[in-house]
Amino acid sequence: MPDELKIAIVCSSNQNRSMEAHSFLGKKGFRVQSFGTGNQVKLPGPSPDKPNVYDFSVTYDEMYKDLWRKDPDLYTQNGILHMLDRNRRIKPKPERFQASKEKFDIVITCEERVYDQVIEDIENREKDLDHVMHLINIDIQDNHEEATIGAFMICEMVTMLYSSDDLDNEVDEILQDFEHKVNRTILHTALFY
Amino acid sequence: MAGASTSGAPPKRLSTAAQFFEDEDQTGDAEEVTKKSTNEKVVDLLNQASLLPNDTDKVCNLKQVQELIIYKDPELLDNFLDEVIAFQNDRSVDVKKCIIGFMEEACKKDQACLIRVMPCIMHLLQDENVNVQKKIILTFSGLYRCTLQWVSKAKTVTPEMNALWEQVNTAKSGLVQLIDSDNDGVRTHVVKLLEGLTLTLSKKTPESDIPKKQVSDFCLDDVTDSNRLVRVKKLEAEGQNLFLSLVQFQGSPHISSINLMTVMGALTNVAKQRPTFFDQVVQSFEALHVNLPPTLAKSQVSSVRKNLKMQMLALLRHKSSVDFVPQISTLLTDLGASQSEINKATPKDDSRKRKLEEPGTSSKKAKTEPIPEAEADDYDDIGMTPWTDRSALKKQPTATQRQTAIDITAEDLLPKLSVQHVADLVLLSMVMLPDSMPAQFQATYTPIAAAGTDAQIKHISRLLATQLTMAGQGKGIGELKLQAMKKIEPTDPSATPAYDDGGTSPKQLIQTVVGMTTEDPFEQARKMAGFMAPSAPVPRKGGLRQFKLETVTKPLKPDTLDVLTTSIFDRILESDRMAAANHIQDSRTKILASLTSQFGGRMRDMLEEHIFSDIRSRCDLAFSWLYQEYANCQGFNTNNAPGMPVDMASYDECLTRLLKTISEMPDQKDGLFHRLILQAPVITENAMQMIRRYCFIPDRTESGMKTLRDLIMMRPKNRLDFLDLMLTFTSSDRPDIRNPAIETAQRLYENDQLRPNIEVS
Repeated sequence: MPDELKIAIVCSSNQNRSMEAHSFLGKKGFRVQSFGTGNQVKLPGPSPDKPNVYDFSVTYDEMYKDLWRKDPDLYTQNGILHMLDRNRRIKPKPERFQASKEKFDIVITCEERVYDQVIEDIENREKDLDHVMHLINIDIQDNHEEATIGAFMICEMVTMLYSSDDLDNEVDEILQDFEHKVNRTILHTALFY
Repeated sequence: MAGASTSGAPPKRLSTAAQFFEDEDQTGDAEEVTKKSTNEKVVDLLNQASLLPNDTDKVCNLKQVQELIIYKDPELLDNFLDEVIAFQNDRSVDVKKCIIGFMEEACKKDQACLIRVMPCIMHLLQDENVNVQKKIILTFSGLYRCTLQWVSKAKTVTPEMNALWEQVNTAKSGLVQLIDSDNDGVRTHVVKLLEGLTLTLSKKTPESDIPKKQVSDFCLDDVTDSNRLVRVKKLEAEGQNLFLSLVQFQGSPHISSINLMTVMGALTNVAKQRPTFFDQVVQSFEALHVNLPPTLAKSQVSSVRKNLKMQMLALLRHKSSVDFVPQISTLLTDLGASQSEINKATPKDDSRKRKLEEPGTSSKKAKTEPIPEAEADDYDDIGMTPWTDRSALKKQPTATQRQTAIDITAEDLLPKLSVQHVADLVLLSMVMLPDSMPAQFQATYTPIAAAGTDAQIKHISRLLATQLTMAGQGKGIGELKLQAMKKIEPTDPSATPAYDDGGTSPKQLIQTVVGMTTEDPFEQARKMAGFMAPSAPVPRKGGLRQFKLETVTKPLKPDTLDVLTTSIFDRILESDRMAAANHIQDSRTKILASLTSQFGGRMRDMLEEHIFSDIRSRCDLAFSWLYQEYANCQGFNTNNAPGMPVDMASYDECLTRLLKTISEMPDQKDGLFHRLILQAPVITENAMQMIRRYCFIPDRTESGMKTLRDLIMMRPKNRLDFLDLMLTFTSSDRPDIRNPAIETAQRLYENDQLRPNIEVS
């Protein structure tokens, strides 16, 4: 593409998977942003049925301080504080995809449910219908290791997409190659909005 | 009325009245000043834009200009239009795209701009950058709407308007044809264009569900036949054609996954905004569901099915889905939707709640029962009263049911799906199945839960009907044609046309009592049996675009070709026992003979070897070969070009070889030589030599003579030659030859016909 593609990485809380990819791609020089699609931001708590829930308007810094206050050992041990620290260096607070007015060229989701939510959101928007966006889903489990691996894969995919002169025409083939390489199922659609 | 001085003069002491007027003047001045400054601003921005090296800044400036002269101060639009359009020649793609967007907005604001804008659009369409082309395609929808609006509202048609209208229509045709472009992205954009054009060239109905931004979009509702350029009926027909091209595109066998999902979305959109197309869209999705393009990869199939589910849910939510709830819910169930999802999306309707309680397929039974109260509920608001009269004519009193072609065919097929027929169908189609389950089938296959139940049989008949309808066969299609034909006949002016006209929403596919004598759809189902079997996935390389066999195959190397040919031939040669067991010896013989005579070479040796390894049982093979050679030489074979000269060389060779080998064989009990000679169509020179040589062999002399004698008797054409040969033998120095020859000659002499010839020599 003659101009840079605008990329968005989307997961549910805009904390782990999307931020890991955001960080990685950002360092590689891509024009990237990240978002979450959930109604609230959920972070692991002391037990699975007691998560820490925040609104999307709460900053990473505030979350960090809050968890530090609650149980510094637990949240250091499970890596949450480290993650929040990384996040606050990238941007002040999580962003919700549904609230974003920007138009992207490529949106990558980390989970099928998130993929569905993005489609639903786009369908319900008032559309100008002058822009086409490629929505791609690659399933990444929500833990630190998988997020790192996922970030690598996303970076590879984006590099392949960037190298194309005519994205619309070649995206199918590129994704097929990529799918074969990483041996994971990719969902893909194009949306006009 | 002292006119106050303009700004810059010292403040004066004035009367109240004067002050009043002073203010007014100043306001007027203020306006002028603002206007002047906007003007200046625009000039400034434009100048900067032409000098700026950075594309982003240029675009930024141009966007500001757009804001100023279109929205803030539209009077300036006329002044600056040309200057802005001039930026189309900029090298940057972004700038060009920005200009295209500007032109669209300008035309929306003031349609007179169209005349100046259109040449620019035509020019940019030829741009080498595909992104510019795609932008044009996307924008064209809006431009067409503006043009239609302008032209249809004009009281008189100017020559410029005429030229513009023609230009726009030419451009439209050209763009629509780009649906066959090689570029996937271009095709996607053309689909969106077709969607926009279909919406423009069709009419809304009260059930139309239109997004807010498009509510004010111009369409045929606002067009009247007021001037000679615009004909509503013609435009409507055009709209229908464009819609049909979308449906056809969706059904293309090698469509790419993105194109497919885009066209699905476009069709759903059209169905929602123009419910007259609702039934056709539902039908097309049903057809798609059972017949996904075989070129899709497994993950693409998942994406497409997900998309299909989303589109079906969207359709289900629409008011017009009431008649199609059974079909749509069945489809959704197949796609993995839960009953709760389906219920949530189904439009709330008291009469339908009863149906929703039953599972999807059995609700089809409910569909065929009369539901008198539903008439009043559903169709008052649409003004369907004219149709309730027709419902009396129907066999089944189902005024609310709009039966599609698929329905008609499905109902027709249902009684024909007996166990015997179904078993036959399965056997027929098994022949065409590939060895392994293709990816797309595996992804979509769900084991059948209730095989053999009534519901499942109905489902199958529906699936089969969908396939048939897609192929243009079946009773339903016949009914449609009949009705279309009926509609073409001149009827009274008040009759509603085949397609929707102003909101009465008649469906042209309503079943009539008149049966159609079409070909028995079951016979067609037999023929279509292969349709149901999923075809093997073609190589991915060619599958994403239009499939061309040349791209995925390449000619074999000569060595490979040879090896393959010889091995095939070997196999056939070795299969004689099997052929005998299956009573296809004749075919085998014919095949071998034809192949050898056509291709010669190594095959001749192989065949000869084969024949002579067991001459007794394989002599018919030898004869067949000979005859085939003869036929080839004589041009009986269609492979040879007609009019070619008769070339007996290969025949000769064949005959000679056979004779030679026979004559060299140790024992000759069966008189093969004799038989071969007598049965050969033509005795060539070389063959004569062979006979001669044969006679010289001591053991064979007698039989040789006999052969010769028979030849003389039976072959009038070459009699003299044979006779000569015989008489030569009579003067041979070998007694064992001479004596039989003389005897034979004496015998022949008795024959009156031959006497003169013998006497002469």
